[in-house]
Amino acid sequence: MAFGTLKADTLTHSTAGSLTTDYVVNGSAKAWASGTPTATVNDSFNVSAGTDYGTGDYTLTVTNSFADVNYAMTATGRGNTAGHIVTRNVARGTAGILAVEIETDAGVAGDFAFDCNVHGDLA
Amino acid sequence: MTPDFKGTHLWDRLCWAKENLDGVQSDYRVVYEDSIDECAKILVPDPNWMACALQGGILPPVWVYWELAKDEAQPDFKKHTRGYLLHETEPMGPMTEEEAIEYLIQKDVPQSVWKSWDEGNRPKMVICKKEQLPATREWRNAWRISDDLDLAA
Repeated sequence: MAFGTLKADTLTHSTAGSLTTDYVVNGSAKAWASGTPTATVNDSFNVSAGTDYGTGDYTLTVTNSFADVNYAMTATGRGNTAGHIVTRNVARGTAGILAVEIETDAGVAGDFAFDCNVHGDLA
Repeated sequence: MTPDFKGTHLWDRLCWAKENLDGVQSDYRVVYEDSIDECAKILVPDPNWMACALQGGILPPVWVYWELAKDEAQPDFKKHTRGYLLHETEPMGPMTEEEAIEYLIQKDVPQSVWKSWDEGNRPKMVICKKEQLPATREWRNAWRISDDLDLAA
């Protein structure tokens, strides 16, 4: 079944107030992915590939590039043991490449599944 | 069937695909070396992207990404101003899985690798099936493309 398009500049709740749809559009994650320790992507949005650069060293390339590198990326290493340190690798990242490095809490690069969300303006 | 997406923002096309297409996990992997000092990299196609490639009518031609990469390589680059190429260029038709891998290589592997992958003493890039990769991650940072590859096979 196909649904039509709802065009609105403002959403209004009966009691909680109003919100312009700018907030909804700008506040949506423009890319996200759930990746494995081998850079295989389980599920995603706006991602074309994962790349395994080595132990704990991954990138995700996007289909609709960001406007610039000033996007906000949050990523987590997944696991049920010790904590993980996750770093955005700005040396490798571009407007179209999201780069993540993961270490154990001892500071040693490690292969972990990871999740990544990115907010920002698209090209 | 894919709607007629001519002139539709790529983001909206991806939203349609996410809603309507099932992801396709490819068994293909692209192994490449872009530095003699670093281990081999392994490119893995995204399942939702692969579904878009097989479906057709969603992804822009790969040259659009080359144009954006050229812009971003400029020393004074601050922000993309030609994003309209992603949205207004007529989308690609349906691809086979193999054609999609070729497209993905040209989009996501450095041009210095795929343009001259078989020049030099040994190949810089290999397309393989995931079963052909080492079964464990042991010595991952020392992985290289084998010197003994039979490229005619």
